[in-house]
Amino acid sequence: MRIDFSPVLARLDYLLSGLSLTVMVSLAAIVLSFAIGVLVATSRISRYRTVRILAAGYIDLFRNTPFLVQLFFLYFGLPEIGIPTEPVTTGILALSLTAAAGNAEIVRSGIETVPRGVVEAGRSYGLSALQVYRYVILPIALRVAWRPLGNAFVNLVLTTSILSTITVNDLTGNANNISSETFKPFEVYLVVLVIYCAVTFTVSAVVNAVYALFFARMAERPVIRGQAA
Amino acid sequence: MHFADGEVTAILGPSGAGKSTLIRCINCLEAISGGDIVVNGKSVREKRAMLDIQKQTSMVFQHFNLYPHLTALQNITLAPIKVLRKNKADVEAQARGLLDMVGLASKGDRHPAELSGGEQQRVGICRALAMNPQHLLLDEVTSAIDPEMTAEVLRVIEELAGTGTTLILVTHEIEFARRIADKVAFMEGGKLVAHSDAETFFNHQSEERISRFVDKMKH
Repeated sequence: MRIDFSPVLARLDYLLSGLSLTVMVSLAAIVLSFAIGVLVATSRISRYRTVRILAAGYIDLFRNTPFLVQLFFLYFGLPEIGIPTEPVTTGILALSLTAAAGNAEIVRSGIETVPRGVVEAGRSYGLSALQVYRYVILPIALRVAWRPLGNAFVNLVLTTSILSTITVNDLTGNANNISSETFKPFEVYLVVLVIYCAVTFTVSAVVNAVYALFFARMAERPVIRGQAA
Repeated sequence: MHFADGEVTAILGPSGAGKSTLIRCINCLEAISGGDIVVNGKSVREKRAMLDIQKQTSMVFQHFNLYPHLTALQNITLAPIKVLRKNKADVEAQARGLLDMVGLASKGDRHPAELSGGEQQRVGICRALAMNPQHLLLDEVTSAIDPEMTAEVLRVIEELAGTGTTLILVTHEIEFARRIADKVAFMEGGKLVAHSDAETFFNHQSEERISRFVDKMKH
């Protein structure tokens, strides 16, 4: 058996079109899962019991079931109750919902580090509950949560490969096709591994750049003197 | 108990007497369980009056409670812009004026973590003043600061006395209270024990218990 990359390189365009879908799906799912995650995190610590219970239920449901089964349930199961599904949108939805459950827990742990007194200060000058969240709590919480969120984003990008099981023609989906066409799985998947690696390195770099841009100046040292008491 | 406009009232008393709780109730940070507090004709018991009362009363906290993610200047301008809906440029000009007044003109762009305790508290006072409050509530504002830094904070408060703003200060600095207060309230065990002119309180104290407390605090 000779190692030969030429059949793979000849189909590089096809592979890269898969990559562009992977990137698109990843970006959509990152944005959606972040937004839903923040929403669920704030619901999880809402002053209303029902809202808290619903959020906790959502988080537990998605964190304690396998992603592949969630995906199959949505893609193959929903049409049976009359909801038509389409691979790419269903894939993005499933990814976002699962990742949001994890993100919610990360954001919540960030919110819990915000000193009570700082929140009180915001309230005492008449900021509304929403304004306190927007201008005081979330900026402080996201600084703490940002790096763990970055890890979650990387994980999400890698998980997009599972969408190939519901016929999404992403990087992995197209790689599968090339592999069965050329009988060169070693070469195909080696190239794909390298490409995934490049993508996740880029994601990490962007996460770090965002941190440096928005959060680094905020406080190198632990803040709020005297707050420990 | 009544706090007249422009008057300086010092609230004294042992720990756990309810001094801080009293001014936190005035600021609607804590709900009151009984009785009533009326600020400019509006009761703190009424939910709808809360925002109005909070606009008229500004709090300075014992532990500063500055927003760690914002610069000193942004700490001061946040509420005036978002709550009073004032023009950003105007508020910033006012904030720079306030920082100048407390001797921090050059530190507006620093974050709280880059300031000393005394500096943070002076920013805290500016933040409260930027709301142009009728009543300023000061909650043991020097007790979390190094002794050598307290003088600069007290000087700022002293300058505010007699400018028309009502000051209500919870403090353990007896000498300071004697110097600037018009009225003194003494609380113990959640109750108001005495409320009188500062002159009467310090120099003609009839209650043995209070005289002893004041004597002890002097040292």
